[in-house]
Amino acid sequence: MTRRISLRGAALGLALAVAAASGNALAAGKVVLYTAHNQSIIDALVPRFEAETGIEAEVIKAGSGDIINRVLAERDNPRGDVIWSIGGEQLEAQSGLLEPYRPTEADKIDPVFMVGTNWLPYTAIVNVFVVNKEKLDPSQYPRTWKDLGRPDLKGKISSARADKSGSSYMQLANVLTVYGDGDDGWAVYRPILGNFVLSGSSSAVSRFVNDGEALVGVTLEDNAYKYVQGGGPVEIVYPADGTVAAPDGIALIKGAPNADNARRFIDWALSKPTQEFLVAEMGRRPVRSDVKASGDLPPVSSFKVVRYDFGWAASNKGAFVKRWQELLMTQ
Amino acid sequence: MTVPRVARLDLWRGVLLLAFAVVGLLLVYPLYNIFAASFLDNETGALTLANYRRVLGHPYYQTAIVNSLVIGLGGMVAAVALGVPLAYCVARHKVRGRAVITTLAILSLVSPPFIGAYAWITMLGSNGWLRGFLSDLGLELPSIYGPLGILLVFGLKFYPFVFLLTVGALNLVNASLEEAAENLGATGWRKLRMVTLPLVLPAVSAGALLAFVLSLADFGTPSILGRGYRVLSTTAYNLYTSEIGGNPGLASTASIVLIAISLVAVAAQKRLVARREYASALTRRPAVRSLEGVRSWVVHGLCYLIVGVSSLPSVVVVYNSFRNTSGPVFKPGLGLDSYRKVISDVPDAIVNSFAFSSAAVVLVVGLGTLIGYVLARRPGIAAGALDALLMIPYVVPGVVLGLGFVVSFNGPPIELVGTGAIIVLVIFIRRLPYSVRSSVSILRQIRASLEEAAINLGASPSRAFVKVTLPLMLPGVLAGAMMAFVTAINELSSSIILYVGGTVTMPVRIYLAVLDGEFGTAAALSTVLLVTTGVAVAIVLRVSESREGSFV
Repeated sequence: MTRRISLRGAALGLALAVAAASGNALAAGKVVLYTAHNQSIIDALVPRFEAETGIEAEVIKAGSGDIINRVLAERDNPRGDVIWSIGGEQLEAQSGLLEPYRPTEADKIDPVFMVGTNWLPYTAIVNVFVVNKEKLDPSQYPRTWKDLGRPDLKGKISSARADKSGSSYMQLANVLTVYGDGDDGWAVYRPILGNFVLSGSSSAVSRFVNDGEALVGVTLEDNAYKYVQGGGPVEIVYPADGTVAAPDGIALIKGAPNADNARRFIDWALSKPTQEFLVAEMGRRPVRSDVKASGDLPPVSSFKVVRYDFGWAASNKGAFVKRWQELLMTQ
Repeated sequence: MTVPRVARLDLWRGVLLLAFAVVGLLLVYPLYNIFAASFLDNETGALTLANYRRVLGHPYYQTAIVNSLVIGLGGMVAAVALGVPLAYCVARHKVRGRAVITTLAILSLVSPPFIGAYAWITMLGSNGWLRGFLSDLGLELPSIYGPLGILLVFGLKFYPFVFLLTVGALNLVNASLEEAAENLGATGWRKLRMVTLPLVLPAVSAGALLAFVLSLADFGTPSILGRGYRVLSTTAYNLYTSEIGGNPGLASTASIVLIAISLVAVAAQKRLVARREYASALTRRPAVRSLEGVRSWVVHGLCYLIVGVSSLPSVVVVYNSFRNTSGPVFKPGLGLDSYRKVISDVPDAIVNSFAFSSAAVVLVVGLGTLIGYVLARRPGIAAGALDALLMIPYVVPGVVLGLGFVVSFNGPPIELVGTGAIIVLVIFIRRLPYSVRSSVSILRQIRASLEEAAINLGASPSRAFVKVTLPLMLPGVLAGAMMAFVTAINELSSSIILYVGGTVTMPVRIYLAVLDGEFGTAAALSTVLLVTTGVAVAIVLRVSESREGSFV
């Protein structure tokens, strides 16, 4: 009852507007997108997609964990069509929920990113530190993951929870990739976690650093870059002991009710104009070989990149998160 | 009375049956499921006490329990410390702008608490303007994040409960008692402590109880301001939504502990006031003193300081909504950036909020009025039992009921998860008791004999109710409906668990925006909420006779 009320205005208005504009749009239907994108990215992209294709996009924004849980819960009766921009290792772990799709311009995607079983790379993601340059002298910047465990940074580093945020899990996996996933790696991670002030969402991390609540944040490059672009007092540091350059993904949900529109959305998301837009406006790194990274961002070749094993990150996730939770509870 | 007995039984027994069905399905059943889940092993489904051993025994959860008590008691103390002096100033002195003070207090009461949390971050965060200003004066404040910030928000949010209830009680104190005290030599502070305060203790403690229970149950404020500081409500939420190892058993157990603490508080308050029911013959109203000189400055200063500071968040939110933004960063200058963004963001959240709240209010007021009638005019064992059941929502936090709804309605026979209906229903059942209680108190002021006269003149009982009693109830019911609307449209703690993308509401969107650091968007949506709330409150003040009484 109420759902109809909520959709009516938007659906009618959009249908009329689009019908007037393109003539054939009423038949275009809709596509349901599950996304962990920031609202600002959704706001910038979705109207473009709708205007270009005449397809109405219904966006459901949630944390990446919530999205996976939802798709799992709806397995027998899928209500979503596309998972849009969540961490590759989460898609890898649940690749059984996904339907493989080869996009029309698959040959333009850089093969180093084509690592997913049933999902596609969407943008390349880099783990970075974001530091407040007004409150921290460059000599005090943490330069490596190990530095994050320094005693003088106790309570001064903002991070999301690895059991709630896909990017935060990737940061944990980053440390374990560099230092090993045995006791050695965890010994490096333990003081780091001890220095963290945790939040639910990784989007908040840069905000805390920008506002001076935290001196250092561990987050994704694009999120930190928004604050650099906005003129905030922040700077990006690339960990010298190695950052994983991994794609986040886009995928067609198995049994998607609007599968054809879903494929059109995926093609659109991987198209050159959209990827260029993501680079220019969002500070994301492209997965297409014919699109260059933003001029402000250093090329991937200028910092140390370590190979990220999605299969390993996905298959060990349960155990790692459990160990992370135990570590947290014994701080 | 010669009333056709069958007709009467049909209407009001029908209402009772419906009420029991609704309460059973939407309250007892979800809570039973939570209760049951707390005794079950997540994996094997076997009966176990392991969840309780863990929640009560592990230092991690013990910290959450202790922290919950700290902010519950702290929020209560802060609310009393602000509310009682304000009430004493306003009730016993000729204060200029009394209506302004009361209205500002009411507005800070009905605005959503997490708006306060967000606004205080922009004021007292590390680079907040107020912190900078105070720092220039040589006053360095501790961080807004953590328990102190939470208590600041709770104190300023919940003091109006204490204030409104205490003013009411102070006005009812028999002046002879205080005069007797004076004649016996007790003046000033001693009279206040020995006579006046004990007389208003039931009212003060009722306000304090409300502040305690609501501080304990609040989700948005500790979630936004807590950071590392975990309390039971945020812990239950995290336990439930955790991506891996989401733990319904532990989440349910934390919920039950939360309810148990609230119940203990209710019992403690009952015990405290048990032997202190003072019937007031109200022969003479207490004296209201004129103010002069220093005393006038102090009293006025105190009153306006309290309501001024508690209104500050609303002012800041409205101002922030007009600031220019560049992405997530505020820029110099004013404009409509944030509003443009909110409107282009498909005004889903706004439309949903109004649709859900209106639907919930129709249900709340419809059933609430009928149940209120039964409780007030047709008391009996069944009505008494219903009355008792309707106490439950007062002590059940929104997060807990939200969890109960997810667990209960996520599949056959009743599948509601993901719909707008589930959000409407959870708001409905949470607000129903308030509506029932307000109908009861309205009906106590309307004489039953009027309706009986109509029946004696040949009207059927239902016709008599509709034609005679209902019109008399209307102003009160309208005020109640507006209050239900205000609380419905500001609801966060249950809808945060029940919303999906298509059913997102303004408070949820604001909460997510604050978490994402999108402060401009949050401010613009908050302003829409604040204006809506303000209009509804203005209607209440206009139609309601016992102005302040409608709000507590």
